[in-house]
Order: sequence, then C-alpha cells, then structure tokens
Amino acid sequence: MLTIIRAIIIVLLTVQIGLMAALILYIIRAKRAERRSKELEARWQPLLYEYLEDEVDIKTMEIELAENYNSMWNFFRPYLDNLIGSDREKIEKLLQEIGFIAHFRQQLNSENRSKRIRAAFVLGKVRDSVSLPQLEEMLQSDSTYEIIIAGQAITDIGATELVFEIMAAFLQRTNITFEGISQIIINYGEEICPPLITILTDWLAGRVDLEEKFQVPAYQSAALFVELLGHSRYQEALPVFEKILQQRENEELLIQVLKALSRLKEPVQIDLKPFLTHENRVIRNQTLKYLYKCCQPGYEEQIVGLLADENWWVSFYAAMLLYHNGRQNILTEIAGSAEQGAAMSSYILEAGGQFEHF
Amino acid sequence: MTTKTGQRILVVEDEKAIQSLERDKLERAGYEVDTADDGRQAWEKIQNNEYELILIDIFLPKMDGFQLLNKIKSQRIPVKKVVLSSKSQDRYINKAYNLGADDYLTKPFDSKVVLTTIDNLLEQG
Repeated sequence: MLTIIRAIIIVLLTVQIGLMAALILYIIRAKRAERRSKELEARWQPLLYEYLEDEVDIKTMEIELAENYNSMWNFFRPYLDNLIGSDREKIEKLLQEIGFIAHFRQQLNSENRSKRIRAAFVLGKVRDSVSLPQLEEMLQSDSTYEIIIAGQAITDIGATELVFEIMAAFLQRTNITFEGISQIIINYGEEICPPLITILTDWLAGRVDLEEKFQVPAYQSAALFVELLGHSRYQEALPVFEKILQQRENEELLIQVLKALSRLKEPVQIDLKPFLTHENRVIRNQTLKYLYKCCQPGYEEQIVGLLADENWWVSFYAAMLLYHNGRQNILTEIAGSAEQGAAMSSYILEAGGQFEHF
Repeated sequence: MTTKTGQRILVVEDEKAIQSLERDKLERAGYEVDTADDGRQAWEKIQNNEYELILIDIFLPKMDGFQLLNKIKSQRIPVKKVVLSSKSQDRYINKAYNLGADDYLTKPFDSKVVLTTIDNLLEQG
C-alpha cells in the first residue's frame, strides 16, 4: 500500500514539475518574442516615418524588412487600423512591393485553416481586391469563423457587389447575431445603402423573393437591411420605412423600422396611432421613443393614455415625451390624482425630465 | 521644417504606434510634443506644464478622454482640445463638444487633416 502511495506521489510530482517546466519555457519564449518584436519596432518605426515623408525609398525598406512577414504584420497593423489618406496608401504600396501581400495571397490557399483565416484577415486590412474570388469562395466554408473573417475581409476591401452573398452566408450558415452582422456590414460605409433600398423596394413591390434569395424568413433579411439603413442614418430610406409601416405585416420588422426611424430623427407622413395602441409593448415603446427622438408633435391623447400602461418602460417614455413636449401641466395634474400614471408622472417631474444616457 | 516656437502639444494616446506617429508628424511640423499613455498621466502633465493644445483619444486607461476633458473644463485650463476617437456616433461627439472640445476627428484618420486642424486652431489663438 505504501509503495502505491509513494508511486502516486512520484507521478504527481513529476507531472507538476513537467507542467512547471512547460510554463517556464512558454514564458521565456513569449518574453523573447516580445523583446524581438520591440527591437524590430524600434528599428522599423523611424524608417517607416522617413518613408512616409519620402526620405527613404521602397528598396531601402525592403532590405530592412527582409521578408519577415509575420513580424511585419504585427508592426503594420495599428497603422492599417488607424490611418486613411496618403500615409495609408503609401503603406499599402510598400506592402505590395516588398512581397508581403503576395505572401498572404499564397497563404490564402493553404491547407491549414488557421493560416487561411489569418491570410484573409490580413488581405482585407490591406484592401487586396485580387483576393476577392478566393474570399468569396471562403464564404462557402463549413467553418463559421472562416465565413465571418472572409465576410469581414470583403467589406474591408469595399466590394459592395458581394454584400448579398455575405449576408446570405451569414444568415444561412452562421449563428452570428443581427448586431454582429451589422457591425461587419457597416464597414462598407454609406455605399451599401442604395443597394439595400433597391432590394427592399423590389421586395415590397413583389419583384424579389427574399426568402428564396436568403433561405431564411423574409422578415429576417428585411429587418437586417432596415437595421443597416438605420445604423447608417440614411435619410433616403424614409419612404421605404413608411411603406413597411403601412403594410404592418410583421412585428419584428416593425420594431426594426421604428428603431431605425429613431436614429434618422425624421418625421414620417403616416398615422402612428395604430403603433401607439399596438398590443405588442415593444412596438408601443419604440413608437414613443421615436416620437421623442424626432420631436414629432401630436398624439397627445394616446400618449397620456400610455402613462397608465402596464409596462414600466412604455409609461416612462410616455411621461418623458409629455415632459419634453412642454406638457408638464398634464403630468402635474395626473401626479396629484389617484390615476394609474400618477407615480410615473411624479417620478419624471421630480427628475426634471433629466436622466443620464437617455 | 516650419518653426512653431514655444507651441507645445500634448498627445494623449494609449496605442503606442499611433502615439509615436502623431508625435513624429507634429515634431516634423515644428511643434514641441509631449505624450501621455493614459488619462491620469495626461492630467498630471497638464497640471505641471503649459500646453497650447491637447490631442485626446477617448478610450484611455485609468481615466478616459471625457473625464479628462471634464477636469480641464472644471479647472478652466486655457488650452485647445482636439478629440481623436474611433467613435463616430452623435452622442460621443456631442458629449465631447459639451465638455469643451474644440474639434472632434474620427479614426481611422488622415494625418494631414489632423495637422491642418491643429494648425488652424493654433493660428486662431
């Protein structure tokens, strides 16, 4: 028995020592890599600034950088992330001339998935349009991560013609949320808005079947387009939004439209009463929020009625809206009564209609 | 190189590569440049030195750019403030202006635009 216990202790100690040794080795390697990276940065940084000021040429840079592509990526990434204009163009030209882009184009064909993903990410950052056909192919991958990185790279490059391919891949083959998709697609900038309006207009006119095109329920893709238009605060989307509100076919879509309208802060030309009295509390809430954001007057009777809404947020936005429409007298009157909205009216009056993050 | 004698700028930026680039560009333009990696370090420097302009990132460690702007405003320190941030939403821009920013530029940025903005603000006096 004692021998067995001794053996177990020896094994445990050996494992522990082995783990400690591996950890120490890892730390030493990481420190060495960090030191090397700092040394390269210290050498490359002044040279890069001279190159940006046309004080040294590409040949000099090429000799100094010496095909050290992975270190180069770490070094150049903050500049690619943060710069536009002539400095960025010069960096892209440099990376082209010294073989950096060619190296990652080659990596895009690697059998190794992580190398392909890294290459896609890098090529997106340097806006390499030559890689587009391969990136488009990557959208058909069975790996969610590969699809997302390929999509992001395409948006970084700015190939707007592929926007619907990206969305179809995201919607059909990944679990990425609406917000996640939006964050990637808005990379395109405002150029993406006209095709979104066109496809929504065609869908509303029955010329496009969104369900067939994206293989998800039509309201889902439509809601995504609306979210993107709202995110871009694209004023030209207003007529399309009004049309969706008039059709009133899907609650999820209505919510997205009302959210987008709040961002646009533009008054709509249609009657909002059906939304203020809608059975869905999110729709009532979003409508109040929209009226508050765009300072659209009217609907006072409905708004006063919503002070007594069963949902706290609906009641809150109704009171806020009245306060900011200069109707404190109504809130004062209700606050002093036994009516259902009395507590909320007092709350808003006491806060003077001011809340942080509102 | 243009000489802008005595015109001191404090660059408050936690991304070292960008801080270094901004410093290089501004020094080449003839400014005297000091740097800070976080809001707290920047606030210490502002209290102990005189700057004509501060270039501030919003998302900084220890004390963010808004808190820094707020401190500068509440102490009524006479200095121009340019915000350089990756956030382009109205609420960030409005907040910065309400806290006394003289200009708000977004990242990714064009160094030439940053330099022109700084030149113009300092020429206005």
